[in-house]
Amino acid sequence: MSPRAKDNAVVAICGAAGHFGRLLVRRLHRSQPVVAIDDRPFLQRPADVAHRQSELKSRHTRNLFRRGGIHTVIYIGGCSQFVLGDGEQFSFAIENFARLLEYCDRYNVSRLLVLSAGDVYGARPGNSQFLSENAPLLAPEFSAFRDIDIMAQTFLWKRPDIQTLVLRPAHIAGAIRSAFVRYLHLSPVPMLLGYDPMVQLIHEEDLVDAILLALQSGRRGVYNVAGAGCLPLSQLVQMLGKTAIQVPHVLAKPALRHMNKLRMLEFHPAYVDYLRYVCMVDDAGIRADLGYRPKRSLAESVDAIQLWGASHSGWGMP
Amino acid sequence: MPNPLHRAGFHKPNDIVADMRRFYDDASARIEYVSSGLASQGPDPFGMNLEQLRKTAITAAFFYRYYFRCEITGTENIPEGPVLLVANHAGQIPVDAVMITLALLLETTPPRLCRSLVDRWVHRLPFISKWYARVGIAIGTPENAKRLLQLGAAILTFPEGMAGVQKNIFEAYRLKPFGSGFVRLAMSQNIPIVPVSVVGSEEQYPTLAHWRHGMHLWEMPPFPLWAHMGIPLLGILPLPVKYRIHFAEARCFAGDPDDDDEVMNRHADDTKRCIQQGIASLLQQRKNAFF
Repeated sequence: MSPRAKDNAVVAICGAAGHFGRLLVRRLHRSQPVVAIDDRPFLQRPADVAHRQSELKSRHTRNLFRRGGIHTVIYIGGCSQFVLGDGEQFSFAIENFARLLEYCDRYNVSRLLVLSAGDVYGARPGNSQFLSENAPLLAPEFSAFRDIDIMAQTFLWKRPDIQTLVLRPAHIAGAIRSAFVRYLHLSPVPMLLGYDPMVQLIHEEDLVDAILLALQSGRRGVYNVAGAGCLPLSQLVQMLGKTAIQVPHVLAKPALRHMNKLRMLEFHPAYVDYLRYVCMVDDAGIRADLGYRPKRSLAESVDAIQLWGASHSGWGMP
Repeated sequence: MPNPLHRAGFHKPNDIVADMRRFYDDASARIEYVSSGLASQGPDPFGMNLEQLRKTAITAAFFYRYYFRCEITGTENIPEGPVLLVANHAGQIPVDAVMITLALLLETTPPRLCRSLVDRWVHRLPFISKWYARVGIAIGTPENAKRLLQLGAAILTFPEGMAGVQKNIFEAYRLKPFGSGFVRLAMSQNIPIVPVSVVGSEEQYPTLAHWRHGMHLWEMPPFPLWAHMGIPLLGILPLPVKYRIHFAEARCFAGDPDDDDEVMNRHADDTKRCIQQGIASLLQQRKNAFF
């Protein structure tokens, strides 16, 4: 289905009120009816987009699906991965997603796209430079993303008649609140002494293109998505005009644990591994199967991160 | 007994200076040739930094020529295009890998850059993991190897694995069993294997024993205790052994890369035998480890 072809097949976007959700809504709402599902207020909502301000597991959302007419569901609820692990946010995200799968199963949804993250593979010393879709998901257990990804894969095999897609993008470059972007906006940027892993970025607009392309393709499956090229973390920090502070890795995790307790920084201590080891995705699959090509250069992706701006810099809670 | 410098062909101090200058110019030109070729391919996905590679290669080239006095034979056996170099290994400080890499860079025409594959524990080490990535060394996973071969690279691998680097001086030049992963890799990518025999590497750090206690706390394998490590400052330098490296005739293994282990092990043993024969022949040629 072309996004230009106006029809009545409603697209429900879960997590639409965030920055990336709004971006996706703006690209879709002129061509087809869009329902935004998010318990956060939807600022600058286009007039023709309905907003259901409720949780996925609420009866209001269930009623929306029960009435029928929702053809496509896009789940982007977790762009801000690595929720802190007191367990509550984790189970909250999993419960909501389980309910969404139930709606897709029961109420004639034809297409489901889940936006996962390249981080689900986990940053480990034995990682290949580029991890294919077949690599095991070894992200630390606090990451709700890994469980959501596995649940989506189970659903993919359980309902072969539904076009289920799981996209695992590299670090999204844009004005989003992902852990990586928030990390890059710390000032100074902490890096691990003696480590400088390669990192990959994907421009937010490229990711929107990839999502639309994947939906139109009619294919099912799991795909990694990355932007153009990759670069060392130190070079990225330098391109952003930031100063790096070098921290010995043996101190980084305990320091982060204490800073979390004092509410000075909102990063899980296990995130340190992503600053130590490489965790990049191999997007050969989506390039070969769907003909995806990133349109924005690496420099444009770096510029997109800068947009988030000086207003969020500093060591306080972003 | 003639002076070692005379034996090496240097009769006047000026000879050494002139030779060093000639060698520097030649090595620089060769490194420049390789760097410009790599630069035209765009940024390296493994994080290799050409400037760092250039500096490291030039520094190491002087060790190659004047410290280890490498003697290379059989470079004509290295085919063009992607190739898998399989060598015997000694020591946790991979001087032998550096010497083989420099042999390809300085002795072949056109010069080639060889990318080494290392064990995954190396990635845990601060500074070293970063430096390795900058000079083009990658973690030895099949996916990394395939990607590098697809880029047309020559890859250096040591199939003895960790057992190879944990040998002591009393087991010198007795090869440990080879893993068969390299055979599967070569078969699946349809590329030739060049067995490489290295002599000199076992004596550079004459390892008497390994310190095993508590190394797991540092996430490291057993640490070698070598004979001259007690000498202040100089103890960290390898001994000035003479390196002899022989590249044997390239061999292609046809067959199914998913075949049984027995078949793969046969090919791996065949390669091991070839390397062992090369080592025996090189050992016969030398009087002692230093000349």
